Amino acid sequence: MSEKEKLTSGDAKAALDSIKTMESAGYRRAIPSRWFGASIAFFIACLFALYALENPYPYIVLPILGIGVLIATTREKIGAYGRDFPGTIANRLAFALFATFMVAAFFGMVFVRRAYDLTWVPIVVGMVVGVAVFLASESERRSCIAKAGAGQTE
Amino acid sequence: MTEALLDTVIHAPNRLRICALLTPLQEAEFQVLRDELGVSDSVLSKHLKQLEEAGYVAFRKGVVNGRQRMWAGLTEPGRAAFSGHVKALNQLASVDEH
Repeated sequence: MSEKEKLTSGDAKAALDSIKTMESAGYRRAIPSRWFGASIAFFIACLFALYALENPYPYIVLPILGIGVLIATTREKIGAYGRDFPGTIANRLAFALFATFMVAAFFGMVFVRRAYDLTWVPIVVGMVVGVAVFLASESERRSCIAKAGAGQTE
Repeated sequence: MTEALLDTVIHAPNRLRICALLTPLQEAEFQVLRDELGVSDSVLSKHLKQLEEAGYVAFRKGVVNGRQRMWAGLTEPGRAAFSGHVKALNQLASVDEH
């Protein structure tokens, strides 16, 4: 491209600085609030804890609906949201491990609840999963804050 | 080493800043882009249209509380083009260092 010949390294550095500034602004916009993470954790904990009931199925829609409404309203309010699946292998691996943990916790809990009729198991598992989701959201939040400070590209 | 090329569509300062802002995001609302860039609606629309014509940006329209809102996000070709542009800028910036 002919413009490349006209550009000096100083111009390129200025453009790269501008990119870093705007990327920081993008990450700053995408920082989820602590309340958002806590609310998602609460709804997921409820989803698990509902299995303490004899017939949880009529109520399962409530936490799912809560999560959907929360995500939609938060996105509309903030006006921007981060990428759902960031490109690094480490992030994808962490997500896969977390999803595996959630699925294993869910089916393990359902099995124990039905096989041994232990009503407290879903409540305890719900609390553990809720705390895990909250810690994961806090980790994501801190990562966003760090990137917003550094203007780092994935 | 293969030399990366600057992208003429992304090269303009405001379009470069739009792409940089959208890089860590899935989508951003028109007002957010306008506020972060500090440009008028018409200037932003013009640059977004050029990015859309190049296939680098896609739009989604929706109504929130009775108000029309527009969301913009980088497409996969847009992300690839921006990444290549940044690579070319890095090569240029490192010229003095060698």
